[in-house]
Amino acid sequence: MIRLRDFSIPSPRMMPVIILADTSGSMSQYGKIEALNRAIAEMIKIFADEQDVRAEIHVAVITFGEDRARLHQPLQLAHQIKWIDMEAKGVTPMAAAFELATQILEDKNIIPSRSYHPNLVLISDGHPTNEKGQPSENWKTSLERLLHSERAAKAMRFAMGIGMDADEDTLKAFLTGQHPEIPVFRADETNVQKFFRWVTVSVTSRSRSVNPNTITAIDPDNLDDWEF
Amino acid sequence: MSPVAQHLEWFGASVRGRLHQHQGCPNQDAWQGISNTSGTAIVVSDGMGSKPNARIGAQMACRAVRDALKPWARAENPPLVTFLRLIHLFWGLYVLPHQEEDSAATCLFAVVVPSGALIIAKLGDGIAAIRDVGGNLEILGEERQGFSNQTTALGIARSTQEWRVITRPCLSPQTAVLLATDGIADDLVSNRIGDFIHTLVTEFGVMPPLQRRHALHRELRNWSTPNHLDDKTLAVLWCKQVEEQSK
Repeated sequence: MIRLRDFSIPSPRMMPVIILADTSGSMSQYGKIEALNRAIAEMIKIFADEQDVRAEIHVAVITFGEDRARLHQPLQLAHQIKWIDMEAKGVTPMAAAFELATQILEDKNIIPSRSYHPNLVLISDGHPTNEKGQPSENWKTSLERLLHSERAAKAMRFAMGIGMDADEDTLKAFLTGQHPEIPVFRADETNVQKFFRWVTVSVTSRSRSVNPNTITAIDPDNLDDWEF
Repeated sequence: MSPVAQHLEWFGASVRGRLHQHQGCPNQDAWQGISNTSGTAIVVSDGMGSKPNARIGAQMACRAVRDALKPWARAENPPLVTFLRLIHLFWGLYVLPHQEEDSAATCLFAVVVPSGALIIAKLGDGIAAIRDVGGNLEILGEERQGFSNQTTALGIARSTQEWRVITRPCLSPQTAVLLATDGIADDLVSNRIGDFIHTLVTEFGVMPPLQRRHALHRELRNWSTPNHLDDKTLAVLWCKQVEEQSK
C-alpha cells in the first residue's frame, strides 16, 4: 500500500518561546530572582501539560548577568525541560543577550523554517550596561539588528520591567513596531507571576488557534476568561 | 533527444487544508497540467492566505503560465525573462478588477518546450525539485530564510530577479520534476524528497486517472504531520522510458 505519509515529518511545527532574563546582581534583591525562577518553571510546566495544540512549544532562556550573556536553557520541547534555577550576579550586558537571541533565531538548525513565528520575552530590572558594568548605549545597535532580522521581525514580543529602576526606554524599544495593545508590563517581585501568566495565556492561545501565526493581543488585566 | 522521442506525462492533485475547512473557505491553491503545441507543462500556485482574492490569484497564476507560453514558444530564441514578464503581465490582467496585492499567489512551473528544453521556475514558497534516473536530486532555489507562511509571489515581487530558475537541454528519460506548495513542502523529510518523487511516479503515475485522483486526495488528507493546516497541492512531470526508443 502506498503511504505518502512515510515521507512527511511526523511532528507538529515548533512554536519557540525565547526568554531574555536579566540576572544582574540587583535581581538578587527583594526576592526578584526567586520569583522569576518560580514563574518561568511554572510557565514551562503549563506548556508541557498542553495537549490540544497545533504547535509544539519549545522554550529557551538566555540570561544576561555577570559579565556576559549565556544560554541558560537551550531551546527544547517544554515537556523535556528539567528547569535549573538561575543565579543573579554581576552587571547587565543586555546587548550581548540581543546578539545571542539573533543568533538563535537566525539558525535554521535550531529553529526550522517550518516553525511558527516565535515569541520573545524580555525581563529586566535595571539599565543596560556593557560587559564591564559601565552604562552603555550599545544595546541599541544590537536590538536594531535583532528587530531587523527577517525572522525576529515576525516574533510576538513581551517586555517586563521589575521595580522602579527598570529602564522604560529599553523595554519600549524592544516592543517597537508590533501590536500597540501589547504594553510594557510593570511589576514588582510580587506580581512577576502575573506577567508570566499573561505570556503563557498568549502563547497557548496562539498554539491552540486555527492559525498559530496570527497574533492577538490579550489584555494582561483580564486573564480570568482564559483557561490553561 | 528529439522532442518527438520524449514521452512526457504529468498529473497533479490539490486538497483543501484544515484551516480553510475550519474557516469555511475554499481551497486557495491551484494547479494545472498543459499539453499543447506550445509545450508540456505543470503549474502549481498557492494563494496567499491573508489576501482577499488569493483563490482567484492562484487560479490565474496557472492560466497566466499557460497563456504566456503560447506567444513565447512561437518566438525564435526568446529570452526566458520575456516568458516571466509575460506571466506577470497576463496574471495582472486576469486578476482585474482586483488589486494585484489582494490577489498575491506563488507560482511554480515546469515546462518542456517544443525544442525539448526544460525550464523549471519558482516565485515564492513551495518546492520545485528534479530527480534523475540515478536518484540525483536538485532542489530549486535557496531554502527560505523566514518562517512558515511568508513568501514572495505574483502581486508582491517587483522584479523577475526574484524568480529561481533551472534550465536543462531536455527532460531525460526516467527523470521527474516535482512541484508542490508549502503545505507539502514544509513537512517533507529533507533526505527523502527524492524517494517521494520516485514513489509518486512509480506508484501513482501508473494508475488510471480517476483512481490516482482519489488515491492522491486520500493520501494528502491523511498527511502524517500532526495538526497540519495548509492546503496541499502537488504536480509531477516526468519523461517515461519508451521501449521503442532503443530499437
